[in-house]
Amino acid sequence: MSTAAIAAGLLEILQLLETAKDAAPLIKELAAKARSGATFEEVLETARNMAVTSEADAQAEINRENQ
Amino acid sequence: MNHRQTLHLLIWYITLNAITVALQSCAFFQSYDEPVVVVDPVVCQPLPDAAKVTCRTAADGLTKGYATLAGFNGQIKRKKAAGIYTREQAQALLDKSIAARKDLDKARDVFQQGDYAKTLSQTGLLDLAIGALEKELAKEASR
Repeated sequence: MSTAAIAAGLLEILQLLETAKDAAPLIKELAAKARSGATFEEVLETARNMAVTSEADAQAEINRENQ
Repeated sequence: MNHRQTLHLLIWYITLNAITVALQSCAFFQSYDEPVVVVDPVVCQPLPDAAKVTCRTAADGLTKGYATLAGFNGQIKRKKAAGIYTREQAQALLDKSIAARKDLDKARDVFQQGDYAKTLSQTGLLDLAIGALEKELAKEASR
């Protein structure tokens, strides 16, 4: 395996860890909602809303410098 | 310093960072084990116990899939704001993330129609898509 391939592999690991770090508080929030007696359908809708809201936030950041 | 030495230094830098983040992230990975299905989904309720396990697994995969995509989008936003991604890179990644979310929506629709086994195979395929997205995020960040 080349040195560059090892570097690329390590970067991927780093990325995986970073994603887990970002998703962790969201999963905890969903788990807390589930434990509080919410129906699964409510928890799933909350999770979907998190994804959709974050898409809008990211899009706003991408568009920001063009304004 | 030649090209090879620079690469070695880069690997050491990345390794040290990976170890640091790994140590910080152990607890974060554990969050993926937290149950987000406490009350059985409506489609799982009439099933026999053995089938309920598969049904709950599909439900868990759907929910955590959305949370993972929200995590991706947060990173895209942060890395664009920090200047790590160009506008074009960030937009391309966000488009792929939105496409993955729409695929997850389709899997959710299938689940709500009661085909939890098909949902499980769809979320499995989505895991592969999310894995590919991970690689792309890493690749763009390293450019």
